[in-house]
Amino acid sequence: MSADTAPVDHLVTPATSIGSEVDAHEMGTAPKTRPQKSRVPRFILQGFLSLMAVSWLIPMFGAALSSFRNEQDIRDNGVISFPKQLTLSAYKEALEKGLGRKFLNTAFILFPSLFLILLFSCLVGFACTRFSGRFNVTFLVIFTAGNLMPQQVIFQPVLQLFKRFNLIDELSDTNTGVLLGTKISVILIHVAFQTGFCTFVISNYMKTLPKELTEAALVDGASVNTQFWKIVLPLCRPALAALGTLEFTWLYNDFFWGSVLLNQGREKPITSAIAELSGAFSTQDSLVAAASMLIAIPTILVYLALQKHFIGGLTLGANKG
Amino acid sequence: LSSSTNNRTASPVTGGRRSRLQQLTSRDRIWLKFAIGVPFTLHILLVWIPAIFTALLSFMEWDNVLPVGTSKFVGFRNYWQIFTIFDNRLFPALFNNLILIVWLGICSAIGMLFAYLLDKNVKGSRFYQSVFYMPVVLSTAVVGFIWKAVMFQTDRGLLNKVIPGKGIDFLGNADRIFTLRSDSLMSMIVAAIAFVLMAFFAIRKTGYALRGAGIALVGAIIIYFLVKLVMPDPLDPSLGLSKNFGAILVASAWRHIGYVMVLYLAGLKGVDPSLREAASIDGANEPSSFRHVVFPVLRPINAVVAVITVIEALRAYDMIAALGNQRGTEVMGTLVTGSLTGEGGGRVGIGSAYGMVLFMLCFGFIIYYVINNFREENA
Repeated sequence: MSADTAPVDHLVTPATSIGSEVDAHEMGTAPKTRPQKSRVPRFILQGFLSLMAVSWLIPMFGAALSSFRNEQDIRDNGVISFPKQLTLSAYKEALEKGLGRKFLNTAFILFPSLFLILLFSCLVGFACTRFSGRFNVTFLVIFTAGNLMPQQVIFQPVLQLFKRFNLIDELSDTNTGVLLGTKISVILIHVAFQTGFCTFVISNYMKTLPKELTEAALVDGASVNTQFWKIVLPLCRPALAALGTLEFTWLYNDFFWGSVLLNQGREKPITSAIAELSGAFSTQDSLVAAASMLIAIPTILVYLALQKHFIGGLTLGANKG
Repeated sequence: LSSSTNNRTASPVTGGRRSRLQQLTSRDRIWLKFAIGVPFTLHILLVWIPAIFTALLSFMEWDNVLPVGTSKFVGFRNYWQIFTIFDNRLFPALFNNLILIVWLGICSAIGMLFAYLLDKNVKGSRFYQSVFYMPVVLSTAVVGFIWKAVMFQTDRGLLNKVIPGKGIDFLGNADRIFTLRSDSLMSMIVAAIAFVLMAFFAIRKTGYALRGAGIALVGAIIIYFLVKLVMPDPLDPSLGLSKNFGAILVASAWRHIGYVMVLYLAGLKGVDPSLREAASIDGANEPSSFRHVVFPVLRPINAVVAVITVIEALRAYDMIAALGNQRGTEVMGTLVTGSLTGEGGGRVGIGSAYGMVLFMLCFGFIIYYVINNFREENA
């Protein structure tokens, strides 16, 4: 989206600046290519933004720095100070305490959830927007409203429900014979919850696709199944990329369900596991910092690589007012 | 769904709406039923039915150990307990949520300002955007830990290095930054409601936003003092903002501002540049061009941001729980969870009643959001 900034710039032609009351007297000083209101506010603006940016980066920078130092050094000199020596020992220790396995747990929960959420929301969006049925709007309203429900409101009955389902789960170590405490339970609740938001976004996107596309296919005798997989789904690729990126971080960052449904420590996904780390490492800044960095790195990498999709996903949901 | 679809197959074609479905083969119809039915069943089963059960459980007494059958109906007793002095935890938690709403509201305004500034084609705008947005991709729990490790430590954290004087234990310290007596708070709430109502009518009557708001403000201040005069002495211990919750507020701001900024930046892209040009040719200065050209375009975004801000503030849980749920930092989310799991887990009825209070608070905003989004379909 930041790439879009450029064209707007060119649309504000120098001619307008001449007409504008504020800029008229400054034509001599302003560079011709880039119309500027005045020099001093620009300068202040830049200064303000860089100051803000620096202060925004301090916590991240401090955490990164602390994670490479040893504890004694931080204690003696404070968090922001020149490190005596850099070491990887905090990372090593964090991984030894089982963080590696927690990453695997996250992967086992995240990818099936993500796949199902996107598939389900496309199916509902497709069925509700391309075919007229009496309750289409009702379905969409229920999905959208459900997504805004506070998770704490529903978790006790969900817990009870999962306790009553018998299930032999080969994926989880802690096999208690019920659904509660398995990774599948977390996947199910993620799918149920997040499908609401994604359906809302996807159905808005599908409404913008011309009706003629599927109608033509219908005339040609294509089944609904074919229309979905061959026509509508490929056209939704940009929306899916955006939503997928956004949902990836949301699911990865889930703290609540991972900690209440999986109370066996070994099964917990990485983000929920951090609470245990805080108990064990609470006095050791370098370890807390290293663990935080390890947890933060995947989402930051995804964000830096897919920034466009990421922000697109966020605004897809918000733009429709 | 199934009954309505069956009707279509059985009855002759009656309207245009049905005739299109008539063209579908029965296989297609089954496909569509599954496409909606499976996700919908899952969603209803794991979101809406549990919500109904929570509502039912809030009228019951159950210890979470014996079978559900042994629970008994107690009417409004749970609500009575949590709203009266008998249980002293609801109002501090509600007050923290209220502070969070106000605070995140301020942060949203700052986010809007950032977006407005970045939209001015500053050099390095893209870099700034990435920097401000980065905390948003982190989990709030991780944000809490980063701030704990870097900023908040008593002897070595950055905030204590910057702030002179003896080190403050930001996360453990439940001392109050400010305190409100409950009679002042109640008067404030009454005055705030009065302000909103008066402002609404005054703006309609006078036609000027500022003048109307000014009249309403004077009225609200008078009402505040009048109500405070007649308000009885405080019933429960005073409410206030504790230092450790203040620390959590600062860390939340770090994340929230970037989030709102991105939403507004997208909205600002929708401002027609020629409108701005026209405004500046007509001699509009910056504030008035913002008010009359930019702000109206942002109105739909304002609605979304308002809902996101309030819902995020009401749902706040992760950071507070991850930082150990310290005394002074309770919010509704931790209160509900704490009453249902862990040490206090035996009070399902009370916990569900807390949950319903939280739900009712969110409910209005959920309705507003849904109506806002589906208005055109219904029309």
